[in-house]
Amino acid sequence: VSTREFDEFYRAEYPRLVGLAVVLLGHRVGAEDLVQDAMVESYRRWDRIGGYDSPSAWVRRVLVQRVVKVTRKRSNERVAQLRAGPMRPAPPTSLVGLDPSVLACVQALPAQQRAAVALHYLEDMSVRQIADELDIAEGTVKAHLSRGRAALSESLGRVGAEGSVSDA
Amino acid sequence: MPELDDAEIGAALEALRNGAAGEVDLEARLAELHARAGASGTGRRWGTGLLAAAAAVALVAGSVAVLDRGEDHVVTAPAEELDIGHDDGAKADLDRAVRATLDAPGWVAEIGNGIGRTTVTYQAPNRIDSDTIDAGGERLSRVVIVGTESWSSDSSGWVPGQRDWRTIAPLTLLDALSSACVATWRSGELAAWDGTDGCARPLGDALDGTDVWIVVLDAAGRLARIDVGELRSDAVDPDTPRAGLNRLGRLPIGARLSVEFRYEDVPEVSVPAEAVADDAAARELHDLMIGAFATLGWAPRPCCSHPADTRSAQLAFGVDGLEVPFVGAPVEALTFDHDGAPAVFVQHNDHVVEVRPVDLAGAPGVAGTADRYPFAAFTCGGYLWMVGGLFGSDGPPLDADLVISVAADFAGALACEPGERPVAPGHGDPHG
Repeated sequence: VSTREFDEFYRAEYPRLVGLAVVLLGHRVGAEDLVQDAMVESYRRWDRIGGYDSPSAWVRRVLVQRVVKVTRKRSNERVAQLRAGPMRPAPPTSLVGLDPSVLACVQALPAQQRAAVALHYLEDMSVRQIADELDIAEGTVKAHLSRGRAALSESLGRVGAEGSVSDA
Repeated sequence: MPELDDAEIGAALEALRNGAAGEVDLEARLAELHARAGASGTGRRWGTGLLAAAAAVALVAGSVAVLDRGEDHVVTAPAEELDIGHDDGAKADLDRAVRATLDAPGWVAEIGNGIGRTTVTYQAPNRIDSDTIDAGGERLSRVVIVGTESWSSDSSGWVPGQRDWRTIAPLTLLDALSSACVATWRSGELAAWDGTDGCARPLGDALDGTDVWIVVLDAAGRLARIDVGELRSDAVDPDTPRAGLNRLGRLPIGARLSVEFRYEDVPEVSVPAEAVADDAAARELHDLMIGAFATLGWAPRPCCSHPADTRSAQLAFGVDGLEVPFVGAPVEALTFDHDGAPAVFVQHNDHVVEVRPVDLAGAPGVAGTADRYPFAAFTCGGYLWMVGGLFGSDGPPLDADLVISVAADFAGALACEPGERPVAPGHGDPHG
């Protein structure tokens, strides 16, 4: 493993991927750990991945897959926990440094819609690329983007009218 | 209402990303990465299966041991054993084993997570009985399902349930197996893993976090034992787990899940004596609620569009007492003691919504915000119906507007009109 080369890659990509993970998840809790896991995986295979045209695309794909998986697991676990015993409140979401109003708008989107929107707006990915990344049909991506865009347009617009998103 | 265009949405999201990116302690995280990578052994290791925990919960129909890490924390698998790929023959063997198990007249599954053990008895057709001892061994709970009826026991006795547990009890784990990638592990043993990223790669090259089941078959080709784990490329020291292991509200790491099946001496599953004197009114209410949900298109689905959804219950019920604090209310809290009154949890999009009828005659409707989550309530048929946002299944709490909307739909389905006056002046804020 070329440590120096990987470290440069890490420093360049890690913050950006954390930001993407926060938007993909809709909250900050665990976002860094997911990115770190993906980075560890890339580090172990850096001899191969470092030679790719876009190592960052490889790591992003691993990250997206992890986010999707965690979201599904979490959904299952939450329902299972409902059956398991007394209800527990959702864990507090750290909003340090983030605009809570904007984050709330993103949180309000269903998980897949949020992922499609994040990849479209933040990674500039096409419908086909998003479909490939999320392993869903292109038509589904279009529907997610359409609904997500409409929802965000309205909710962010409402936030903007109250002054919070004006700084974005 | 002002709306944003595409560029403005993009700018808002970009600002959000940059805000999150700006908070990272880059050098510390990089150092941690090197430490992790350097600390890993030569072989891939198994940690606890998170999905396994969820599956176990489902398998025992509502029981989970939420505990500290156990001793049986990590199982090491030699790297060469993981150099196996999906093979259709092994997959066919596993499918046959799953079918044979489900076709058996009955079995007993001992489910252990390294800490507690649960017994699930299954008798065809559709008779299931489970015993569960919780983490501290202080609570014994039991679920009995006969046909489409279910009962669960808690400290207050037997409580009827409306959910058809058949769809989640014995079938959950088996369904997960049926959609897995499969390879021969050793003689008479199969390895199955979830195909999140497809079955093309060998198991040893699958992504970290991949759920893996090692399935042992008996001489008759049925399931004899299943060990569940998660593929991890890093060593997990039980004494120094990194913080990430418990991230995101996952069930605690700490135990390897195993399920052992036996097919002989299967005890009879029968209706508990106390449950025979079931509350007819509560049952009627169950039917009413299920009917209302069906009207709204929320009826439990026997199967779902996505394979992952087959492990998600669409409806569940709870009977625990709930204390709902009111924000800004002249009283601090309302406590609902449930004497068998059902509450229904509905998975609606990405949210879990609770609907709970409370016998509180004469209370008019209210929409408000509780301490941590919004709820709406209205009277109908002599009950106060609570529609509460527990949380979003992917993290965020329910939005008050959505809860009110759901409540309105639900009230409409019940042919009721939500009242206009709050339960008491000052109770709640419809948009809080």
